[in-house]
Amino acid sequence: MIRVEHLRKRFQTSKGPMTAVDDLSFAVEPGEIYALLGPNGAGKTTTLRILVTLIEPDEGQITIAGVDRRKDPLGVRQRIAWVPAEAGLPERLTPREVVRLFAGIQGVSGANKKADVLLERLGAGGYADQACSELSTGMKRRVVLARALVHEPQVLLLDEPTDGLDVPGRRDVLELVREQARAGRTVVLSSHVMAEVERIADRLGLVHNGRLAAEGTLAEVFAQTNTTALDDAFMAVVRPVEAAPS
Amino acid sequence: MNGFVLLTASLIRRLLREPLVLRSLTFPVLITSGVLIGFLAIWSVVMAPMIVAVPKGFDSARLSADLAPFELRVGEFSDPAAAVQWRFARVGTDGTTVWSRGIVREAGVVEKVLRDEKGSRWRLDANVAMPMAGGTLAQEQGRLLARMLSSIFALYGVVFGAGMIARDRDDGSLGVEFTLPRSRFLPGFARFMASFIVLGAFLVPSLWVLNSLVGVPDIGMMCRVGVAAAAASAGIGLTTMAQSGAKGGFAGPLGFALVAAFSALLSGRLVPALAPALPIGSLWANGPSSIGLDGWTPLAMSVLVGLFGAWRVSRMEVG
Repeated sequence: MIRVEHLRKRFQTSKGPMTAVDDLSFAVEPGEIYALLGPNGAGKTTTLRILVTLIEPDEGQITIAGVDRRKDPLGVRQRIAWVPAEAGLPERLTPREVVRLFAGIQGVSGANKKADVLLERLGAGGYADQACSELSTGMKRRVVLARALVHEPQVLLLDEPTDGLDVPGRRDVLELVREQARAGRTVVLSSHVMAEVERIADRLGLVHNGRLAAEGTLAEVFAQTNTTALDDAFMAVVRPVEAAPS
Repeated sequence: MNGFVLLTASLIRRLLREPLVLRSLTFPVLITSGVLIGFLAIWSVVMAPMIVAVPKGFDSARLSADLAPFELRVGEFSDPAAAVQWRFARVGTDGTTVWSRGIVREAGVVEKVLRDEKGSRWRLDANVAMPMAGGTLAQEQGRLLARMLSSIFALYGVVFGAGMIARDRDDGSLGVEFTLPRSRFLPGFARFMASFIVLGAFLVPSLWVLNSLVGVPDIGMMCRVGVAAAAASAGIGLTTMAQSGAKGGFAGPLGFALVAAFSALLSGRLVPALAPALPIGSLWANGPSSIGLDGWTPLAMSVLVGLFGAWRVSRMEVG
């Protein structure tokens, strides 16, 4: 599971200090899909990057799968898989080489065989020996998921997982994510696509200006924002004056 | 350790699959060798054969014997001067006058032999290499070519180091590597080692090709110093790109790294006492290897530069 308490992160910009994450707290249970929903610049990606140990928080306590992030970042990394918005696939390598490499680095037993099986299972076997530069966005997403899952992580963190995908690609990726939750993994994803969040998330957190403006199941978020649709809930958080009933 | 080896191997594979990288690594020696061989081919066509034209009936027995060590043959012509003019012979003589087209080294040889034969008071010391600090003129030219080739690889090193970080930072793969359960030092050092191995694997054979064509003095030392310069430059590239951070772009840090590497190249001339130990400065350092420029020290120093670069990369915030 994931427990985030009073997370804070500030960046220095040319216009002075900017608070990207401001006193953010949430918890996610195993087998649950938690979505961080918010507009661009709300702090979703920064939160995920802190969780995966890419950047250091200024304040706050994070525990992932029972491991304190500050005390044992390596232990956290053993239990997580990070799927960034950018594919992060080396262009000159093939999907098979990428997934085998990550399996090998993480000391997965039978790394090569496991990588091959996973690529097949995620529907990427047909193009596993093509250069990554030749793959479509949807194909790359499957490879990225295979790379993330090859060491069987307990926690899966995804940043805008369906960004740039067409409708079938989006559907496939969401189904793959759903499968991971069914397998007992804790899933946290960020998105600004409401239909996607409605469809997949068990619980969601509406983030705006680095703060958690509303949180819970869909029904709970509607109740907190006095709305009946996620669009309206979103707008109520982002532009409360405009969204308020006249 | 296994993770480091796997990552380094995959980075080497990526580099070798870049057509531009392969071209840039092989072109300098191909172009240099091509120009040298082409020049020799044209020279052999343009230059007359190694024959010394003498008039018919000239007593050439002693002259033939004296010219043999210089690979010159004696040939009889009715008009030796015309034979030289029409490129049937490289040099002509009637025993008192020597003819040649332009400045030809062999004319000096013939003059020396004739002066020796006649017991002249003033003798030529033909075919003796000009004494120079650090070797002969030919050795100096060989060393100059080797240094220039190594300097090109040093500039490649900067581009390799900076490019590997910038590209992988921008496409997200560096971030993904940082989330692996391994030390954050590993991605940077693997990139340094991949650059070290690839640059070394192409520079050393290139220097050996040059050596076989023109002769490079202290070729082993030159290889070590050249690889050290290329590797340390890669370390500089890594360091400056890591220093620039997540949104540092590419051109600015690359420019800074190139200036730093160029300054390091000059440092060997500016601070000769330190030159033997400097990984890039030793490339253009003055003096022969006998003053301690063995090449091993710069090579070890280049690894230190790489370790520093890897440490800077490990502290880089991505995204």
